[in-house]
Amino acid sequence: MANVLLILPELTIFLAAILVFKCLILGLSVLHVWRVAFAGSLLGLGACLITLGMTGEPFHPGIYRVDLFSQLMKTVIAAALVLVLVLSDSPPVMRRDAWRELPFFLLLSSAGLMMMTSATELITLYLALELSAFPVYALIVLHRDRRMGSEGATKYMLQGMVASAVTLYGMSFIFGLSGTTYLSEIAAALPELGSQPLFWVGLLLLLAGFLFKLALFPFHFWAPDTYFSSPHPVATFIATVSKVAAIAVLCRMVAVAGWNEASIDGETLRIVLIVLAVAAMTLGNLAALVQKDFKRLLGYSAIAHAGYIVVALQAFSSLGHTAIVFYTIGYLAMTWICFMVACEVGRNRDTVPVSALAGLWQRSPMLALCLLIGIFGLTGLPPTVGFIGKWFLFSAALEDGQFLLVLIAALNSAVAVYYYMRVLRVAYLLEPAKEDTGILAPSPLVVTGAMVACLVVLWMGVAPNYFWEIAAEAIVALGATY
Amino acid sequence: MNPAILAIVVIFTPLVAFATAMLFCMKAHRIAQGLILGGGAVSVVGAFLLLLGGPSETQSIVWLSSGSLELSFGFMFDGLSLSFGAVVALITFLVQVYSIGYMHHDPAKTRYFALLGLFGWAMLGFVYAVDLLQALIFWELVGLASFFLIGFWYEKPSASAAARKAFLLTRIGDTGLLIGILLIINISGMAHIPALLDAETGLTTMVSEGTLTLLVLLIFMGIMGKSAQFPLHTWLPDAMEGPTPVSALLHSATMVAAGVFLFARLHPLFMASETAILVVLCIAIFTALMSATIAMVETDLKKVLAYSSIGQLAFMLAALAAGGLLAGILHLILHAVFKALLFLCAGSYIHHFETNDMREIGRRGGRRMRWTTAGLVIGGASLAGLPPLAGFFSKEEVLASLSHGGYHLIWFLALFAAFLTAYYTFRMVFFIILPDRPLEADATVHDSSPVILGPIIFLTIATVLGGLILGPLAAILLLDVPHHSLLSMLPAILCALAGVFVAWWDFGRSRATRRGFVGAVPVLHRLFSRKWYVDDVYQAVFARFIQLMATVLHRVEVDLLDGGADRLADVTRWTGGWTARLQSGWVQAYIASGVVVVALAGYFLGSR
Repeated sequence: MANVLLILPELTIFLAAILVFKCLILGLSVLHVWRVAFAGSLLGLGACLITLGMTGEPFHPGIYRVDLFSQLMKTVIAAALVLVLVLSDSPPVMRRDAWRELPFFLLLSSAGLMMMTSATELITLYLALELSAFPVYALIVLHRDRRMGSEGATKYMLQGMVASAVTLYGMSFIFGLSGTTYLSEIAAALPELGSQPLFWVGLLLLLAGFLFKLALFPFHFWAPDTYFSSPHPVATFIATVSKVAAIAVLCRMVAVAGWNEASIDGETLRIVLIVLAVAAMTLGNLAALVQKDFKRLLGYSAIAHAGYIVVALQAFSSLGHTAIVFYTIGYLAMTWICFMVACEVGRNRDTVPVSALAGLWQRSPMLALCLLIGIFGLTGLPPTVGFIGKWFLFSAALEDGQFLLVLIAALNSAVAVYYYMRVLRVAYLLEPAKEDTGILAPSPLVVTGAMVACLVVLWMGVAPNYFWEIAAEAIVALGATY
Repeated sequence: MNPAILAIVVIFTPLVAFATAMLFCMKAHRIAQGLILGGGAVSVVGAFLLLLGGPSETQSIVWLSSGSLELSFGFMFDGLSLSFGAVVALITFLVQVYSIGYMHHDPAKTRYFALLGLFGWAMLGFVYAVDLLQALIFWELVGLASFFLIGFWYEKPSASAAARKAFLLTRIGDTGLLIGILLIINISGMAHIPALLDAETGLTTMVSEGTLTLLVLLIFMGIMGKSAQFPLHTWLPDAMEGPTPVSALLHSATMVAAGVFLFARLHPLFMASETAILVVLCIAIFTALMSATIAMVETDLKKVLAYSSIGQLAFMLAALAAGGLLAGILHLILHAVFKALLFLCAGSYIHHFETNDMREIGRRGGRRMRWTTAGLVIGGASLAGLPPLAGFFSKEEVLASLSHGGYHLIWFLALFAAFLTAYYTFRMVFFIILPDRPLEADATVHDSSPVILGPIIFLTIATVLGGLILGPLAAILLLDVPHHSLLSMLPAILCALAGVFVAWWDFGRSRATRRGFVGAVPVLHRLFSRKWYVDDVYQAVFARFIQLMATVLHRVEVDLLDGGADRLADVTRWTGGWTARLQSGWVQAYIASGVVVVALAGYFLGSR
């Protein structure tokens, strides 16, 4: 019974998914299906909050670990799922029938993502990864424009498949060398494994699948294209929820390994990560400068932000990891706000060009204010979490003596100001185009969600202590040996 | 109740009222007004409960920590914060009540009341702040809120210019303050005020006296700006462009008082530097004399009061610098009371006669507004330092602390300034109650409405009884009540009486010339009425200098920096375009490049 309680969040979301599936078979309308899914996700969030603070291993020891870190990440995932569902309540005019299935896939994928945060064994991890990925492939096809949806889905699936194949390939290396798939046993054997070149190659290949989810160079190409060509709520899901799980897995792997011990040479891995981070930040920010589509721009900004996160990850320190967890929560809120605006503005559009935001402050002051807060956050201006979070990320690298890296990161954030502010300029200073001067009235649910998200962004920015302490405790729960 | 929770209620209720009024009540004036007044009332009750609870331990939480530096957010509950916090909350509330009547016909009432709420939040937050940086944040918020309030009638060019001037001149001082605070944090590694003031482990034990002098003088720059001391004083008279209740609020208990309060807060640091003490004393006494002489020839009722504020602030700073902590704080609090009274009386006249010229107010029957006139006379007598009113006690303490500190020359000059203060105050009083021609039988002159008179009467009573707080204040500040013999009080009393007499001789008696004794010396009269040419010097020197600098820098900017930045931006954008072209949409290429990079990295990893 205690074990069931431990996996309550995943279980709730799974059961909700099955229930939604049943509703689909019974032929319930879009709205009813959505209501069931929304209630399920709320229950899932509640379950996460209940299990927050529990520790244990519900299955065979060593496979699946429930601790404060995993439960915190699951809470974040569940909260983000609720927020994404908030955005997908009213389907577009076209393809209502297909839209019914959206909540089902969202729930299923979230269950997979939740499992990823707890998995401590390679095969479990891989299964969770695939469980989270497949529903999303199907979701992209739901785009209003069939051709665009199919193309986007095919591209995303191809790249995702390759990434997970590479991951599996890397796992086989590691299994071959160590004879085990348990992360803890691999970590224990690290001093010995570390001397074998093949292990490092395997590790790098293994990471590929997660770097893909995080949209880090060189697995970043999908992000702008997929954001652009998926339905707006699906893009929101990919940009927020699935990021969290990838970050959780990376943190767990790095923490379990304890790279800073003298017997293991983590330095080479670090150099690789630094190169990837620099490439991701620079590519993302530079390419974002010339984007005309809002979601595509956010895609590039996501690549850059993946780079910022790796800046702290490569420090292999508790400060770095805490900063990552902290920033992830804030980043999720900021990104959701921006996508929420994209969803609202693009409700009856295939794409959301930046020019569609023109005159937003006249069409909906509320959305314009939200966009301001979200964009300020992504830019990294105080008093939002974007500023303080980035400061934590960079100070983790500084503590490690990586001055040059931080300088590059800071220069990159300066470049980013240009394209972020361009969005605000369009939203606040330009008159709306003739065809879309109508007033935008977000539903009360969206308004509530937006207020919560804005509050989180500002609260974490003004008084970071509360969230910082939770993040720090979660990192302690990982049991890392720094 | 836990004082910290109470303090949160006191400080943040006005903010909540402000936000609610601004967001939801832009059209519902009455509700907004009620909200702000309710918030103000909660603050007053809370602040007085805190005061009655007596001093207690500082409470703070760590807000941010970086390395060894911890920035905290919290509240101080020592006598200074408690007593002054109560005064601030009280005066703010009275001004809000008064504003109901004064701003009755203004179409933008909601904005006005909401801004009063914002201002109350900023000022109370500053008074209870425990961390230097926290104090600085609220200090700047006070500046921001006062900018909005002074420029409330922004459609009047003079009002928006005055708001800008106030903001910019205080900014000049704030630059020094910011540098000072950052230096202190950098040197000592802490920003917690009680820790910095600690006699054994605080800042004074860490640095040499020279460094300390530099630090406190940088902080004093901020005080000079906020408390309008020479040469940063010129914004204050202009700030009279705001609505009169705003002047009453800003120039009595809040804003300008913030500077003096900061001085009192960091008193031990200033006391550790002889040089800083001398600098402060010289600036203060010069400011006191200068402002008094300008007030002697001013005919605008509010401007006379504005210059008297500058002078009284200088008195407080002089007393604090001479070591008279109790004297400075007492004068700060009592001045807040009677100066608010004077401004509210002035507002009552201005509201009725719609002119600021005190001669005209007198001629048109100002004295027929009996309650207002009673308030003006009592407030004026208090400002002049006549016993047994509030101002007498505090001014007496100020002068006594100067002579006790051994600064006899300064003491003498301060006595002279006190004489001038009594002189120009009663010049104002006589202009209004004894006009130069007999009043016509004009039935339309009547006193203001009860909401306006209520605060005036309350403050009048407070001014009469104000001297009684000396004992309790000393007790809560943990200081001794000084005893003065009647003989030592004599010079101050004589000076005040002499000032009143000369004012009567010049302006009051029936055959008076009404030019004043300065009028006999045209050079001086011109100097005073041109306000010692300070603004003209600013105009001539700074404006021209800035014009020149601007021309030079403009060339540098356009040709060198801007051009360079444009090139840089072009290159960056071009690179961006080139980078974006990598995104061809060709999946095979994506996958191939991913695999190639991983292979390269794998090779690198493996070969090490």
